[in-house]
Amino acid sequence: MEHTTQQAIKSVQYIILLALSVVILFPFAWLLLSSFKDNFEIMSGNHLIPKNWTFDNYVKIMTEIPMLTFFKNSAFIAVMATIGGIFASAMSAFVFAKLQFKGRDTLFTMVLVVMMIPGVVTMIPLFIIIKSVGLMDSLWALILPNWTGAAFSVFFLRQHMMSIPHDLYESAKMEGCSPFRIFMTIYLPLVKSALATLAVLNFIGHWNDLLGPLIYLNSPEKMTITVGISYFRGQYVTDYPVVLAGVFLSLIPTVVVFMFLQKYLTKGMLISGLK
Amino acid sequence: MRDDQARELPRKPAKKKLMGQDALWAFVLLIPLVVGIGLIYFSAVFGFAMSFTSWDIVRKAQWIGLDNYKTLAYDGLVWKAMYNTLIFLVISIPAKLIISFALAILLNQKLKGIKLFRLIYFFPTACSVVAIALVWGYLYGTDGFLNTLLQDIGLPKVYWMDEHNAMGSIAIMGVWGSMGFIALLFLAGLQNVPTEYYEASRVDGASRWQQLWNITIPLITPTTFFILITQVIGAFQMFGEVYLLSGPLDSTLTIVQYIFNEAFQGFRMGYASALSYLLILIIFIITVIQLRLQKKWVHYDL
Repeated sequence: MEHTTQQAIKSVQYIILLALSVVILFPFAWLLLSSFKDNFEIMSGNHLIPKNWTFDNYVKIMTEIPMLTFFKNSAFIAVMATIGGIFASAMSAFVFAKLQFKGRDTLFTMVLVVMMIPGVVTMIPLFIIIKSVGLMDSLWALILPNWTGAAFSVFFLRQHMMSIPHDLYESAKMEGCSPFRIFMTIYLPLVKSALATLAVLNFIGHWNDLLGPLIYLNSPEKMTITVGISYFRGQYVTDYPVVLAGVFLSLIPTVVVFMFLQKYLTKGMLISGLK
Repeated sequence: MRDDQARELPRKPAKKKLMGQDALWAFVLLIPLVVGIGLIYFSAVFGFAMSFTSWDIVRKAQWIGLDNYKTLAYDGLVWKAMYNTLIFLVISIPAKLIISFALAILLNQKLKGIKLFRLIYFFPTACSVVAIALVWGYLYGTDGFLNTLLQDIGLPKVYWMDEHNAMGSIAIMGVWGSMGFIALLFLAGLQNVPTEYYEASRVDGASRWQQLWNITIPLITPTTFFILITQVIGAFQMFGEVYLLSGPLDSTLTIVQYIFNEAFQGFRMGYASALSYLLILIIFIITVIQLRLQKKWVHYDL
């Protein structure tokens, strides 16, 4: 008796979990399937599975829209901004975790306060600064500001570096290692999983950014995938399977990064997060 | 004694030299960060000063004192944007909290394949607002898939993106997109509840419901509080969703979208800056109120 009720509870739990998975995945399934429909089919009926499968939309999006350029731009920004940003954050985190100097705690407090300043406040002044240094309509406008490091990443990496035994630092130093070498050869490799967590978050964030490219980029050949798709949606108002094919392609990189590194992400969130 | 001295003497100057080297390296390694936070602090002050001017970035800025702030107090669009955010909050926050919490409890069970479910629920977090908003835009169409489904089961069409429903529809999309992520935050909280509490209460004969009400929910309130604060702040800064999936007649206008339009389409930098400071003030006030209220319902211990 006890056993059967246990079994029943388990089945109910599975049913709920599955039902919610369907709800979550449905829009993606619809997106993928619709991108293989022709325009007539999508206008005439609303069955899920295409009757006549067609790759035309994908051909169109690659030939009529500079899709590859958008991809390249987005990838360039996301990779450069992520690597530079995390490296700068890690350097600062190492300094705050291990090096002694006057005013360290004051500076660290100032970094923490920055986390509380919403991005909207700095959006307009930053635009004026970027414009005045001549970076408008350049991909670097979306990369360089990230190379200063981010307050959250500094804080996150500092937590991880502080948990590494201090003896390691002391003994490396006794042997004549410079702090920078200690950082590169000892501390950076030891916080690998924290770096991976931040890399996923940053890559996804940069790839999916909409406001930044909207503000800084104008010419079509400079556009990123997010702005590019929303821009070309205007030209394909009546041909929306083409837009959907583009949307689907735009999801692939972040989803791949996410799939490969999600174990770090969930672990990072479940262990270090939110206490 | 002599031994001690011998060890002490050569050590001291060496240590001092090392300290000097530390400070030098600290200075070098911190250059990027100091430039970055310097820029942020500078921008915050610069933006505040700008909010007292009328400026189109082409001509010289004109100091106009409090005029921008006076204008916004009587600006109907500001109130409209606030109202829209409020609608979004009222619909999405309770739904997000309840659904995600229930989901987290399920994800905390020892079931086969649970990791796959976590992965699926977290999936929308990896996707861009652009993709999500476009897909939902098509699903929400008058003859879109959602209405086809409704008609298939004999229900009337819903005009998802008309003036009255648009903000609610965006809220539904918001719940769909973030419930997995929030569930994962709740899950982290659940895994921090000490199992002894459950064991002790089971000995006392508590039912599952009693355990949920008297142990789980009170002990998870710090997580709930964190989610509430971040979701409310996020809602006030919403942009991408409404930029791409906008309803008619400003029915989905948000403050950030208004700031964006004023600054980068109307080139009214001064007014846009004033709006951004209004937004910060609102976020600040709401956060302080929440921090005050937290004493009434957030338990940091049983």
